[in-house]
Amino acid sequence: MMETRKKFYMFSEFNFREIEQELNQMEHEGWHLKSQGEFFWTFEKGEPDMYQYSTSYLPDSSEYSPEEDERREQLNGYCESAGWEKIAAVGKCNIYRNSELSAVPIETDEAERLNVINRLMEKGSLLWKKIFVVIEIVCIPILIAAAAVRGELLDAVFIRLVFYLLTFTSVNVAIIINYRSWYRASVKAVEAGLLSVDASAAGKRHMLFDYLECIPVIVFMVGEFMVPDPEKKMAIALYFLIVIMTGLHALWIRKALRYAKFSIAWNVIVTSVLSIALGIWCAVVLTGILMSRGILHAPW
Amino acid sequence: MPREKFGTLTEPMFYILLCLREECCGTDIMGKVSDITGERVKVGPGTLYNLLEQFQKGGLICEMRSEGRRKNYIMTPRGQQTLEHEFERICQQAEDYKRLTGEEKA
Repeated sequence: MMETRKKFYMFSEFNFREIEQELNQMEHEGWHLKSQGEFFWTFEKGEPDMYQYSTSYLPDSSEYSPEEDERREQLNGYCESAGWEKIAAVGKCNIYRNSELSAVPIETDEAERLNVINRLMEKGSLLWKKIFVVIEIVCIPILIAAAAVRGELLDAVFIRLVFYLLTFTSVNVAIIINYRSWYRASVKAVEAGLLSVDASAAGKRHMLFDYLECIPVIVFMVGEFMVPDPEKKMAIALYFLIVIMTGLHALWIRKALRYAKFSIAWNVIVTSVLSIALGIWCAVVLTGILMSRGILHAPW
Repeated sequence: MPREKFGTLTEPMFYILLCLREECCGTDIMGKVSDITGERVKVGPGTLYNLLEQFQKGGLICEMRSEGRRKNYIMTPRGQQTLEHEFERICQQAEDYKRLTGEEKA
């Protein structure tokens, strides 16, 4: 039986060079990429340095795109004709390998590659960050004004809410600035005839900022967990578990629908409806159990 | 990239359009560009895919036939105009070079 190994990776979208370097390093150690999951990448033991790896992006695809849609098929066809075999594809990123180490690279125009990366960032995660920042910037003054009118500026719940919003806003702004700095530096480098700037540091900062978005959630959990009642602690832990299970459930549904070749729109709709329905159903059942045991009380 | 779209063509753009004077399948373009330029210019499959997509969106080429993965494209009048404009630009550069270096030699 073939020896396999799983590795946990989290790469930011624009950090394509680190993905390639990591895969080529694993290859050098005799580990060939077999598949790419949501969190873990699977490698198969074999002879070292048999393949070289490269990435290519489809800016108009998403994590909800069918596993093999027309655009991806077309790109795969071009790559196959140049000797590049598709190994994995998640969202906009496609990973190929080639046993011919002197093969023509998949991307031969650095400016074009940078253009594609920027398109996928601007149309994808960065667009959402910008939308959130605008919403947050509009919401914060309205909330402060409303609290001032009601004399609740020093209310604990209000202070926590403003803290969450400010944290989200700061993190989102930091993510946008971090990416734009890398992109501007890369444009200058490419115009000077060089490769785009190494995105390892900017990519790691991007991931770190993404994790920082969890801070308000953690503060909220810790704050709520301070209640002295052990049954209430258990109840909070169970609600938190439901949130995590709903998120994982959404990932599984999304993946299944991608393999079933659902269109992007249908995948988004079905995944959202099923995940929200499951989350609500679990929360209602849990609330019923907690109320029947007298741990929670109806507000009416 | 912050450059005027197709205002000037890069070498891969120029040769891809040149190949598409006649109907041609995407997969054949890579080989054709390599042959035309004596392997001086090579277009990778990812670069080719994205350039064809942008050319199509910009109205420089259009899709003719599609058989499974194989899609045939051909240059549109707008693509022809862009290619000619690029040719004139290159010629102008060459003229400027000849004139200036000729003056220096004289």
